[in-house]
Amino acid sequence: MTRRTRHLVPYLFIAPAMVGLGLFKLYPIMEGLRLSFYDVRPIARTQVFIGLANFIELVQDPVIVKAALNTVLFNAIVTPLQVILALGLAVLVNRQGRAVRVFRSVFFMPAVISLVVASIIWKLLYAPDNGVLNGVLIAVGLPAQTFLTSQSQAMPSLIGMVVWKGVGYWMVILLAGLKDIPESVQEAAIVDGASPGRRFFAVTLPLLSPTLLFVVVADTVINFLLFVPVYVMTQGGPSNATSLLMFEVYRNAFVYTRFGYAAAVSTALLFVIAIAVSLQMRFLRVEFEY
Amino acid sequence: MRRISLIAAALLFLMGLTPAIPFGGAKSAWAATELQYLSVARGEPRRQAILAAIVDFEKANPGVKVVLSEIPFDQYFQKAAIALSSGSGIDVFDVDSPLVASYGHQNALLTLDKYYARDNVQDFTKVERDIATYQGKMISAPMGSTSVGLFVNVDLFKAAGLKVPGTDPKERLTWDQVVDLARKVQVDKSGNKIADTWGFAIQQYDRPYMTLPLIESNGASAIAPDGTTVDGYLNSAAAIEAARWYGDTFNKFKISPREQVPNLFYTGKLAMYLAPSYEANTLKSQYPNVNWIVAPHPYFKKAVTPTGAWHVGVFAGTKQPDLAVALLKAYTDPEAAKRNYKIMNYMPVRESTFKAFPETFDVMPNKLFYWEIVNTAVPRPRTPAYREYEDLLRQAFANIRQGADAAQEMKAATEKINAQIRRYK
Repeated sequence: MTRRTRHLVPYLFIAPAMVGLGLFKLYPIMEGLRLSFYDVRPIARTQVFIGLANFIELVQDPVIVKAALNTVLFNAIVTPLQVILALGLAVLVNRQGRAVRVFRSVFFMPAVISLVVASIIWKLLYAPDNGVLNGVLIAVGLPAQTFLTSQSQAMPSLIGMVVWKGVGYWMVILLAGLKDIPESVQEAAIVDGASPGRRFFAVTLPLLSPTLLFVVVADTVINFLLFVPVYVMTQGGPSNATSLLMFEVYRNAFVYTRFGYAAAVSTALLFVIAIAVSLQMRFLRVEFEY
Repeated sequence: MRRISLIAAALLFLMGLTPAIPFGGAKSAWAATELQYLSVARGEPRRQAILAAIVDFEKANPGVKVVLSEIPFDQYFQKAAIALSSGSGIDVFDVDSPLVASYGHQNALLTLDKYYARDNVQDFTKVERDIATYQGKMISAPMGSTSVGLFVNVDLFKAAGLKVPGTDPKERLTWDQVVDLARKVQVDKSGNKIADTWGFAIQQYDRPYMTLPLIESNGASAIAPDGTTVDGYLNSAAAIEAARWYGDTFNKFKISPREQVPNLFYTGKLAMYLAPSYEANTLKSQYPNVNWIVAPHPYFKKAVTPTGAWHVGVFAGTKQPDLAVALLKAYTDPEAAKRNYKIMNYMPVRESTFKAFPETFDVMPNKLFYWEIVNTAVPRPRTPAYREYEDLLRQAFANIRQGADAAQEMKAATEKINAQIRRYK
């Protein structure tokens, strides 16, 4: 083997993975981008190039605009709430003991339930006339609530369910991050007389920041792409109060068979996610390691 | 050594690229002519009907093998659209009856006229013939149908000291009478203003299948006769009035739960249930303790009932149209239709099937359902944009159910549906 051919060996080894990546990731993205410039009639099997018409339509489409605003609002609330609660729980269960192990399992349990099943259960819990939550409220003398059936309460109700579902998962990842922080650093802070609060903000949080950055970015992406709870619990209603962009992508692609328009919404969503993630990377980037 | 590692790397690379090649048994699979049938997954025992048709077809056409793909209902339309767009994996397929026009407009269905004798076509009920026809051509074969009636819990009516509604079409209740009865029969034992036993509920409560007859019964139409607009129809005073009444059943009269509660009628906690004909089978086979009858579908100004279920079509791009039609006919021709009824218990689509089972269709409730199919059934609107129509109208009714203003919702739905219809021009 010559020196030149030897250089090729590593490339050959990673080639299958690269081919897979190209075929199953890059190609669909590029194809989606291409379709967003076409009027696609899948059943009639026609594709007509229409330039930017899909994008012009989507910025004028009140349903898409509402879904975009909902998506931003949803993420602005859900992601910080999930991360803060997950961090709090991770700190609380970051100790030894049988009871702690039980709590860890209880907090993690929602993460192992299928999202579809969880959505169905929460829909039944939220049912305005026969739901468990209203049963409890009435039993303690409080008025029944409308939950998913009113425009004002639908989004908070959806957020409540999604936060419940995700917190345990992110807690486990943050717990792993906490376990990675060397005890010697904490001990040094104790010797220096740092209070528990000061230790958390001056030692734990900075050293946890690489894990935290991963959790924030991954959680943001997942929440931007959330579809199942909307599909199962509200179908975007009432009056589009809970419609998120991913649901509109589905609705346009598979209910209205407007693949081109759905691809345009999907492309717009991709750009929104890219902007959100790049901002997070910029402001939460960590320059050190331990 | 270096050479060996290079060869090994190249081999690994090629293995990564090459799909698995079947060695054993591949020859016979390639030798047979294959027909692809894309079907909704119906579960046992209903899937036995299509399996029996496939056996008949394969016996009559040696060397031809039918590949049956059964797709769950909630994924079916997406899978069918993808199969039709790629043109592969589909020769014959189940067609939801209100989508016949949509597939027809997009040239997805083969015209069947030349394959059907006049008697055979005339054997289908008129309403199903109409659904199967697009621009004067028959493009699908009806397979099963439905009707809707008012299922009444007799025991709850007796407990409330009320007269049980009659089952004859002449005794059809008005919707105002239904509200009155529902209020009387409803029970709130705990006094928390949420009923323990509900007066009335609609199955599939947001879907146009159930809601369109309300507005049609009030004198409105679902769409213009030429199918080009809903302006002046869905936003007409009559349609809005009916939609408002629908919302009132949940929010003003409070006779219906605002979220669909599973099994309410089956467990004796619902007095009147507007539901499709197949509920009778479920009640008979699974809930023998519920004492029920079926009253005719109530009305505002004239009697209108929903209908339609499943048709079967042949993909226009099939490479084997004659064989595909032969398979379709093995499943839907008169003798197969009788067998389908025995297995599937769907309401029949052929007069010959109704006549073949007098022990079933001369007695209630099927006698009533048959009468409704012949006399009051109105199919869903035939428009290429039916899926959009259905989804947008469903959203409007969902919003009305949740307290939104009926006039505003029906006007907004009209605009949105018209925008979708325009895309097909």
